[in-house]
Amino acid sequence: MTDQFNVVGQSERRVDGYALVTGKPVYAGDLDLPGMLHVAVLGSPHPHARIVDIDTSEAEELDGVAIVLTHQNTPATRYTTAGQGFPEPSPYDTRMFDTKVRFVGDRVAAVAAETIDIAREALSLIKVSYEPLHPVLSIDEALADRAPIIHDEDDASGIWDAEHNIAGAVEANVGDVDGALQTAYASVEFTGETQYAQHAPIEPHVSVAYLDDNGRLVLYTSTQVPFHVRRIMAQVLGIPVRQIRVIKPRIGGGFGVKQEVLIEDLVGLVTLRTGRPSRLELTRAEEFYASRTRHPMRVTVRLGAGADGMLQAIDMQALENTGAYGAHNLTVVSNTGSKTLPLYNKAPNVRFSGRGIYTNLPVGGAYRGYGATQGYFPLEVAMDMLAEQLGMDAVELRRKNHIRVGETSPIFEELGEGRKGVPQTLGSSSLDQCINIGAERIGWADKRGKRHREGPWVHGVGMSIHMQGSGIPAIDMAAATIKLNDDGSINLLIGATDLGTGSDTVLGQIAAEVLGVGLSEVIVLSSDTDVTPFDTGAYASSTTYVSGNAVRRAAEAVKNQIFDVASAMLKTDPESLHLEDGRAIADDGRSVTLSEVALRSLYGADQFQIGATASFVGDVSPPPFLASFAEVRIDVETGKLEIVNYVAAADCGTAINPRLAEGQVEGAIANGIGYALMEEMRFDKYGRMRNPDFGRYKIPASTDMPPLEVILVDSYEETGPMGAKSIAEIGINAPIPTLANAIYDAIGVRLTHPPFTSEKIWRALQNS
Amino acid sequence: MRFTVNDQVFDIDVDPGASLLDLLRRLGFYGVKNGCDNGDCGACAVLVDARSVTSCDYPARAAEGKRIVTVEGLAPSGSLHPLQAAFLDTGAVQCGFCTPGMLISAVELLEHNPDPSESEVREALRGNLCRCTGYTKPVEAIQLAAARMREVDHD
Amino acid sequence: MITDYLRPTSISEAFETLTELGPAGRLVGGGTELAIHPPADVSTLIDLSAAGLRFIEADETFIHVGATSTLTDMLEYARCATSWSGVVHTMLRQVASPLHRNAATIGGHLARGRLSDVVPTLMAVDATVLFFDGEHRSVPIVDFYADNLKRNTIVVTGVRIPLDDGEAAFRKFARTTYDLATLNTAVGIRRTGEEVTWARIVVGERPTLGMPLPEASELLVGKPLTSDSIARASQVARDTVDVRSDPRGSAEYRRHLAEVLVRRCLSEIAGEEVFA
Ligand SMILES: Cc1cc2nc3c(=O)[nH]c(=O)nc-3n(C[C@H](O)[C@H](O)[C@H](O)COP(=O)(O)OP(=O)(O)OC[C@H]3O[C@@H](n4cnc5c(N)ncnc54)[C@H](O)[C@@H]3O)c2cc1C
Ligand code: FES
Ligand code: FES
Repeated sequence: MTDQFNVVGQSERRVDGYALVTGKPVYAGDLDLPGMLHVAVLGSPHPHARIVDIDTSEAEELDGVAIVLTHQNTPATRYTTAGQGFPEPSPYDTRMFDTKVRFVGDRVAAVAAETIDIAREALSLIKVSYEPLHPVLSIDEALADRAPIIHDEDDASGIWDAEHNIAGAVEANVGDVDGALQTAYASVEFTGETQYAQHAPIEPHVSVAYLDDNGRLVLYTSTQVPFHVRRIMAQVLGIPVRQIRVIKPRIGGGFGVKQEVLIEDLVGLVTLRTGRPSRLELTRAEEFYASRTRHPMRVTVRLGAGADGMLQAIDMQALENTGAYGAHNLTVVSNTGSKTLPLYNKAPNVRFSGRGIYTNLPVGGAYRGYGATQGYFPLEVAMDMLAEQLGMDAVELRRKNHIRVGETSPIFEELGEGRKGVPQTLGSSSLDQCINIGAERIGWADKRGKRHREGPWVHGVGMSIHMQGSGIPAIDMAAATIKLNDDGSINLLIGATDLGTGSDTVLGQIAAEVLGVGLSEVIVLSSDTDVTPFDTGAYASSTTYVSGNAVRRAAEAVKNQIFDVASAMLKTDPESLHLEDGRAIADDGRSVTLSEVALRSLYGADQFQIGATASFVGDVSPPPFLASFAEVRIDVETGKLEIVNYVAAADCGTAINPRLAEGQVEGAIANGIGYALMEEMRFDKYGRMRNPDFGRYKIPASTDMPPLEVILVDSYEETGPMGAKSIAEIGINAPIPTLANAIYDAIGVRLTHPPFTSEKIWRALQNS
Repeated sequence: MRFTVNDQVFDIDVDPGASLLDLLRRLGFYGVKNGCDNGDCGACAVLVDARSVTSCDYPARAAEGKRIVTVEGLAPSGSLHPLQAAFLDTGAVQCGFCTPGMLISAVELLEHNPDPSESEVREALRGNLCRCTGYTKPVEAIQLAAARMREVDHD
Repeated sequence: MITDYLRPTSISEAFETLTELGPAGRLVGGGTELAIHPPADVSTLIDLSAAGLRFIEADETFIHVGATSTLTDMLEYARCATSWSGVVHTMLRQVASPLHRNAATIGGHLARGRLSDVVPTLMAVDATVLFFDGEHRSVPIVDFYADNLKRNTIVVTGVRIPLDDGEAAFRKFARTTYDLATLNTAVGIRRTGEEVTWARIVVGERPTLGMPLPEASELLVGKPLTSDSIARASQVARDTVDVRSDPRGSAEYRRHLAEVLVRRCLSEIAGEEVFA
């Protein structure tokens, strides 16, 4: 498919690559301004308490302290930190500083001072008296009778049932699930409980604020959602949007945690109040417990099938721990169903229910996979259980039931993100080939069920299949602006945020392809709310598909303008022209360069700026697919698990930049392996995180990663730019179920609580 | 205290409690990144007398008389070290935040071992946490750079 | 707050400064601990790098390692990869990362003692710690920790590893390849012919300091290594080791690991095929 393209389908170097590999100061934290204040935040030592009194006088008197912020001198507006489209589907349950604290690390005060050391010293001088309240440290405690009410404030809005600690709730029902389960030939049930985990971008959150010469507030910040930051900042600080400019420089990784307005309000307010630049960078420990986490969930899946293996019913019930605030709770738990259930569209009866539950623990947020990760674990384990019960090969069972091109699922329409979705018919999929290739590469037929042994090691293989989406249909909007310069180069201005994903490069390639130039002719700028057009931001696997389509449209419009000018120059029909190698070429072979076209449009005749802005909102959200396979070996004496080999075959439509696309899958799988085997935020009985550093909270290191083979299997998505779909999230959903199934294949135990540590596997072996 | 950074000589007063990371960033070497301030992530790696170390847990004053190289000093301005080029060619850079530290570790590795195996490369990168790439492409990049450098040496 | 950074040029000068300053002074080896977490009462860092302690050399009977030698220096020293079955080399490769090993010193490591793969291994190879407390002294490493000498005002000046026909093995069991051990074991033996004449089984990261297990070790002495004696020693190791729970592992799991890993160390020394 991709051989029809010149720039698309090539693994071009990143457009921002030179700056990154030479260590140029391109991140928010590298901006060092004269007179800049440093901000530090006082976090609550209590999981649940009322603030009775705060005395900041000593801190204010400390030499070098510029300002101290608490609930006493900051806006009381309720809002959500979730960086989502307006109106946000998350409850307005957060205040800049509240009179109540709801988790250990919740904001109590902030100090801005000449140096960070002074700011920290000042924090220790703030005297706070708390009235401790009974903490709620699990979903079960939150739902118990007479549980303490975490959000008892009367000015919150959008909470489903505050009295019972339910932040959000969502249901969908198609057909008669209970009836179908009762009459099914085979049925299984599995509950998987995923743990607290953190995104752990290597760059923690960092923001710098300053006032420009006209007194406008400029935020230079590590965000995935600059336009949402601008809107929410205006809302929280009570100033007009026009007073705020948000610039997103290079970002040191986000994975969802920077789809949140977490620290910008503090530097913004400090700078507005003091008139001085200010900077806040979370410490690694704060990044862990006081930013955002993956929502832990307990999800039960029940499946019913006929003797032929055709699914009759799927029931999925999800309880989500949203922590102290409801950011993203409803949409994440909706996704647990909406991004998983359509995969098995053969089931006529499908039911989903999701509840977001408040606790006094760190706050859930957007995290790569966005709920689907939590749902795929039990769904794909249950599929293996069902195959076993039917005496059918696990791969075969999936082949029978997964969605195919031209088919639909009622869930697409029944369940969206916090509201109804949109109907869609699958336009592209190479999932069948992905499954075949993966099974072949892992040696499925030879290894499954064989339990090969060497010394204490027993081998097993496991697999799972997945889909995600490409943007939120009918909601996510992106726009792009393109203009042509004198020398035939092109400015591409996009609000889409490259957070390391390479989207500047991918979007540049799309523009270059349409305009018949090399990528080096495209100057990409993202994102600056004063300069670049609107884009909802980098989340929900939207950039390549949604922003990519906007870029394609803008480029098409510019192409038509170029044709108009060139046809006048060549005295020919616009229809007879095409663009190639930086020239507009007529059917008869005559041509003009883009530079000549630009010069004429700027200086010659009928002058105008060749340029266009175009927007795109998806009607559908074409899913990428993934088939994931792993071979593990387990040391039965110690429970140690090693991944012998990992194969992931993925369908992202056209891979605009194959290396960058592979990199997205590799990174997501690595992150998923971390979540499956080692990552877990642990809390003591006072709700304090016990492991807020990389020494104790382990993420995969180079030597932890197994041989990993990622194979892109092209399909062509007609609605996507050059046939592309998005790919950044899907890989993270795979390792937990794939490895859980491989563990079962090796040793016959089903683990229900990741991470699957050696000790857990050893215990399971002891008990089996 | 006297020391050099990327061949530039400094003779300045240095806070006895400062880390080398703080010192270097204060001097404008922003390519040295702070990812954890705890010796765990390797984003702050620099060469001190040709050995790669984490600068966040290295006392600044211990660098007295030493030759420090940061990512900014790997190649003359405007050009790329073969490792930097290979990182770009293989797609080994995603967000790039870990990249300076990885490059530093790789420079030391190739200094001692011009033809490292995949597992030797992985061992060398163990202290450089990367959350974006899953390490596949950085490992590939380092082996590619090694091969290119061997070829040049050969010619 | 750190207000002073000194670089004495001799051991005695370092010691005198340390004595004078009391708790306000701290020695710096690699500084990997101190640069990040200097205790609040410390005002002066005393950097040992100019005190002439960065050397590794061997004579007929010992490898001598100066205190400010880095872990990398030791890792790259050829005799560490050959004597005692190369166990010091094997172990050091599993310590943290090259970035860390390039800075961390053996003196700093020994002075700290806990959170260590190094200490159990050096115990198993019958090493001796050298230190200065006004006088140059040397004590077997096991006694150095048993008597908690690291608490005293001393300058660790180095460590000495005997060069004889000792054999050894080491196992680190960790949650990931880049973590402190959940538990580690190091075993050293000396044999005359087939007969074991000296044995030391050490279990570390329990999660506390490395602990020699004399009862289990004694079981091996005076006879050849057999699968029987290996099994018995491993069981006694399991029964006599002192373990605790922490987030890296429960006491029960650690006790079990101790048996498995001691057995694997011994089997490796006995030349059996060990798959893990
Ligand atoms: C990220 C990380 C990972 C680690 N992983 C491992 C691992 O996997 N395995 C392992 O075994 N260890 C591990 N460690 C421990 C590490 O090896 C030791 O912290 C390190 O060796 C300390 O050496 P240093 O020279 O930097 O000590 P320093 O920070 O210089 O000193 C440590 C302490 O010893 C004192 N001291 C220093 N030198 C002397 C001396 N000569 N005489 C007396 N006192 C002295 C200091 O005053 C200080 O109190 C790890 C440490 C870190 C930070
Ligand atoms: S910042 Fe130095 S190791 Fe992380
Ligand atoms: S590229 Fe982002 S952390 Fe490595």
